[in-house]
Amino acid sequence: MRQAASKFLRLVIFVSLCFAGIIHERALAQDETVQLDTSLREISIGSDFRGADIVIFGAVDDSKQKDAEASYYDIIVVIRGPSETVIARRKENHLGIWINAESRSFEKVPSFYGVLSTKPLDEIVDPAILRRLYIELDPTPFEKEPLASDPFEEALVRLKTKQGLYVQNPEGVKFLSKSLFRASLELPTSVTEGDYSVRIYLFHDRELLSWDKSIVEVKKAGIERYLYTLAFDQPYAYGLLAVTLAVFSGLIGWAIFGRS
Amino acid sequence: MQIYLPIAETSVNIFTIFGMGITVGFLSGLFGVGGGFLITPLLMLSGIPAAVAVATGANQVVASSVSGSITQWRRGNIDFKMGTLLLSGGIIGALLGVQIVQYLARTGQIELTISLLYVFFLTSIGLLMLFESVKAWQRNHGNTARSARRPGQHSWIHGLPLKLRFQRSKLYISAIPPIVIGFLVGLLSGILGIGGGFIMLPAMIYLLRMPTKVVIGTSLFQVIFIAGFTTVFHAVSNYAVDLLLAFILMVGGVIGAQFGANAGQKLRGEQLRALLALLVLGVSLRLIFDLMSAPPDPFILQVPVTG
Repeated sequence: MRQAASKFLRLVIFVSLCFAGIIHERALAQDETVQLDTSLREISIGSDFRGADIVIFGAVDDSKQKDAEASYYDIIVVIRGPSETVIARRKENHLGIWINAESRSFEKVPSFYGVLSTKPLDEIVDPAILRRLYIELDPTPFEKEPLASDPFEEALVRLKTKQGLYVQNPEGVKFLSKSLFRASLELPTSVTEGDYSVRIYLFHDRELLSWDKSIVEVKKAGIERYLYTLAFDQPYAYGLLAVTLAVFSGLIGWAIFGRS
Repeated sequence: MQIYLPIAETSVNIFTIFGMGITVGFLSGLFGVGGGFLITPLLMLSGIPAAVAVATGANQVVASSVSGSITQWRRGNIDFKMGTLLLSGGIIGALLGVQIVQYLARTGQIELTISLLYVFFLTSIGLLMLFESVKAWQRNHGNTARSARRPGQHSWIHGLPLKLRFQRSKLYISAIPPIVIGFLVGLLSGILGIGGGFIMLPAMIYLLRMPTKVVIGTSLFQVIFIAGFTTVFHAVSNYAVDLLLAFILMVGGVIGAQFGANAGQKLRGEQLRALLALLVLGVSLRLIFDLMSAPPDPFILQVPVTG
C-alpha cells in the first residue's frame, strides 16, 4: 500500500515536471523582449540651442512578425520630462485692460510629455489596463469628477501642446524591419533641464509583452550652465559680477569714446 | 542669429538686442539720459519676462551711468555729499521696490503693473517734452518774450530740521528732502529698472534748488549705486538678472552712446527732443495697445522661479 502510494507520487511528480517543461518551452518561445536606445543620451542647452531632435531606436528580440509591414506588434513610447509646478491664470477684461484674474496651481506636472505609438492608443490596448500597469498616457492624471471638465486643466494641456511640450502622435513609431523600429521626437527651445525618462512598451493582441526604459539628460552647457548655476547657487556673487561687468563696460566705454 | 539666454530661458535674435542697445545708447549719448526707461519696455515688448527685463535694465543703467559720471566728475560737476545722502534713501527705496516686484511676480500681476507704470511715466514725459520742444521752437521762431521767472528762494523745505551744508551745490538745507527724494527714486528704480534721472533732475532743480551745473553729475553719480544695488537685490531675491542679455545691451550701448554724443553736437536741440518725445510716446502707445488687445488665449501658464 505504501509502495503503491509512493509510485503514484512519483508519477505525479514526473507528469508535473513534463507539464512544467512544456509550459516553460512555450514561455520561452513567446518571450519577445524589447530594447531601446536613443540617438542622444545627453542634450546640452548652449547659446546656440534651438531645440533638439531625439531619435529613439528599438528592437524586438525573437520577433515573430514577417516584415515591417506586418503590424503584428504595437508599440507605445512615453517620454516624460522633469516635474514642475505650473500656475494657470485666466485673463479677464476690466475697463478695457486684460488682467490676470483667477488662477490655479498644478503641482508635479511633467514639463514635457510625449506619447508616440504605432496606431491610435485605444486600438492598441484598453486604457484601464494601461492604468493598472501604471502606464500613464495623460500628462495630467488628476482626480477628476466624471463629466466635469476643468477649464484650467484644459488650458494647461492646450497651452503646453501649443508650445510643443505635450506631444501625441499615433503614427510616431514605425517599424523598419521585422524587429527594428524607430520614433523621433522634437524638443522645443523651452524645454526644462533635467532627466527625461523614455519608456517603451511592446504589445501584441492587447497584451503587454515586454518593456524597456532609458534616460536622456537635458542640461545647460558652457557659459549658459556657468551663469545659470552661479545665479541660483551664489546669487550675491552673481549680482556683484553683473555690477562689476557693468562698471567695467562703463569704464571701457568712457576710455574709448568719452575722453574727448 | 538666435542666442539662448540662460536666465530669461528664451531664444532671442542677438542683432535685435544689440540694435536695441545701440539705439538706447545713441539716445543716452544724445540727450544725456540713462535710457533705462526705454530698455525695460523694449525688452518686455520683445518677449523677455518682466522681472528679467527690469533687473537686466538696471544692470545696463550701471554701465551707462559709470561712463557719464566720469566725464562729469572730471568737470567737477558732482556734489558727493548730496549724492551720498540721496543714495542713502535710494538704497532703502530700491530694496523695497525689489520686494514689490517679487510680490507682484508671485501674484501674477507684474506684467500689468509694470506696463501701467511705464504707460503713465512715458506718456507724461513724452507729452512734457513734446510741449517743451514746441514751445522752444516757437520761442526761436516767433521771438516770444521769455519769462525769466526765478523761483522763490525760500520754501517750506527750508523750515525742516537736520540742516547740512553742501559746498558744491552752495546750499544749506535739511537732510530730510534729499533722503525722501532718493527713497522715491530708488523705489521706482527697483520696480521699473530705471535710473530715475527724469524724476531726480526736476526734483533737484525745483525742490532742492541745486545749481543746474551739478544736477546731472550728482544724479548720474548716485544712479550708479542705486542701479548697482537694484541689480544685486534683483539677483538675490528674484534670480532675474540675465548677464548675457545685459552684456549684449552694454556693448551696444557703449557704441551707440559715442554716435549719439557726436550727433548731438551737429543736430538741432528742440527737433531732437521732439523726436525723442515721439519715440517715448510711441513705446507708450505700443504698451497700451498690448494691454488692451485681446490675448491669443484667455489663459496663460507660469512656472514660479525658485532658488
